[in-house]
Amino acid sequence: MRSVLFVLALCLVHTAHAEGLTVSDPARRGQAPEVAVGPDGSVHVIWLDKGPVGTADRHGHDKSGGHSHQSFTDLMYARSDDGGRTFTEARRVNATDGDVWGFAVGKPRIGIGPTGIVHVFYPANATSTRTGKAVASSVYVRSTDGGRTFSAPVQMNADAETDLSELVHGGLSQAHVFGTMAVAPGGDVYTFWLDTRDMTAERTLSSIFVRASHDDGATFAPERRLFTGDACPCCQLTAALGADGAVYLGSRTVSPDNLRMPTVTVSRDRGEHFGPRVSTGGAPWTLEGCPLKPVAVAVSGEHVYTLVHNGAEQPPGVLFARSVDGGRSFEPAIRIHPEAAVSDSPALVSAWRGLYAFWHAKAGGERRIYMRTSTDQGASWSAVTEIEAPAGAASYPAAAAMPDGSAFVVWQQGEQIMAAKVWTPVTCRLCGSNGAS
Amino acid sequence: MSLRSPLAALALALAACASPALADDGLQMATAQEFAQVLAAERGRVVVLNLWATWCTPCLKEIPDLVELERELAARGVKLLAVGMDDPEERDRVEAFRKEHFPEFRSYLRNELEMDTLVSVVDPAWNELLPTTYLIDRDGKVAKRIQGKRSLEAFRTEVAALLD
Repeated sequence: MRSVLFVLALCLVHTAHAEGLTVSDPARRGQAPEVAVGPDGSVHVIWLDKGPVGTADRHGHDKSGGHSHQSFTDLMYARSDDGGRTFTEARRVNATDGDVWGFAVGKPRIGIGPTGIVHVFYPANATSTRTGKAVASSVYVRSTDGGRTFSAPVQMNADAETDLSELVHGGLSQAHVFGTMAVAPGGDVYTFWLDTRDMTAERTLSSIFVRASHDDGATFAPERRLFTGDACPCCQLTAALGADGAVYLGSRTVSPDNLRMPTVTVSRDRGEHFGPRVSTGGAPWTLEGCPLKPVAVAVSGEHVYTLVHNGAEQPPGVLFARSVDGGRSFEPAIRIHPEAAVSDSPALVSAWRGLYAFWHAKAGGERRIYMRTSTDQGASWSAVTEIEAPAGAASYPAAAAMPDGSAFVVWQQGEQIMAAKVWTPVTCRLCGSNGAS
Repeated sequence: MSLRSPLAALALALAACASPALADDGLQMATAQEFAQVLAAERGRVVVLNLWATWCTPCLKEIPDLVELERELAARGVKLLAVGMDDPEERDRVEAFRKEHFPEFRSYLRNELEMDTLVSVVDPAWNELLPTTYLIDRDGKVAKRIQGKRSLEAFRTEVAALLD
């Protein structure tokens, strides 16, 4: 009887999570967290540091880094070697004070290589060597000593020859940012970014560029233009890797009549060639504006999953879509949190226990972090669960898969960065063990 | 006159005194709390509340039309309130930009880490999209949320519906 009750209880509790802990320094203002998990289960978190709590933001232009700053942000890193129960003290990644350009929807990225090398890709303040004007560039650094020190920054984009200040605005003459990175188990590192260099007055859209490394970040091939002048310039790129090494890239295209279409494209030759961008569906969203909405992507075999915000839905919210043919087509999208007044900022993780979806939403109060899980490859979903967190606004989740099949999620809690481990039971069918870690 | 009305008027007057009023040619920082006071002080007018940023090209394209809209309709009680969504740490740059390109476009700038914190005063379900323009009626209620760039004619039509 006891074992029957035990199994019944498992069937009712679809997801569980450990109590969240604060990763950032409580005396400082954190933003835009990202997380990666190494092959050994180590957990690596990065976030933007906007300065001490309660102090005014730094205003104006500073020359401390030898060039004009458009912002004064630092990038912090901490790691855990005990499954996320404790984290090291935060260390600064960027070499020069205030050199990072990012914000909540222009995040830095992190990935871990097969031997534990920590790869970081972030947007940075810079000055173009061609025009002498302020630009935002994409920068790569790596750590070969477990995150204690980071290499000198390598600018991944070439400087553009033209000054597009009158088109790009924001104090910048060019922007090579809103990027993403994917790190493969074999040591391939793929970096992508949105680039303004092909903008025209008629089409103020971005191109998509790539640089790839096939030696764990030691060297990179020259940049290549993947798609020219038709990408939403403020919708951050996302990437995911298949077990077969296929590289999936999520982006938003913009049609001449301003239809903002979430898409996925795939490369099956280590980033050399990418196929056509395939729409993940949802109501047609026409907008002459800046959505700031990424396309979260996850992969499991031939199943490709996306989670995207769609402003054409009423109310505006996050949609889940699934492809069962490797991204060649997508099934009709479904709302992931229909009861919310608004849902946004999607994150998606494919782990061996199942698929984890995270987002922030307002459902009767402040923004909170929510999740659903699927143990049948996205065919059905658990009930919406709110991640337990202190009172107040919780937002901008990011997540990564743990070796035990759970997911590690980080988010912004007010001005702090918090983290928690979440998992879903392996099965509800007389499995005999709950699989909880 | 009932007791309630003078108290309400007093409260509004106090709110107006406490709110960070815009200088004739300035960019004023505002927290969510301060911006709530700014809005309270505008009760009785039709407010066109525009959210913009220097990096949002469609936002910049519609700013001249919004300035013109207020010029045309100010006498009928229409007030343009703009809130910049650039990072607060970029205040000096944003102000220089505003002065150079849109000197007649007075604006607040969010003094909050997140854009949503300030906008929640008006719209708890905002989806962080720019430009967003709210038409707020004389009672202080949001009558319409407009997302994406609109033409002057489209704004005229929308605002006229609140003036009848």
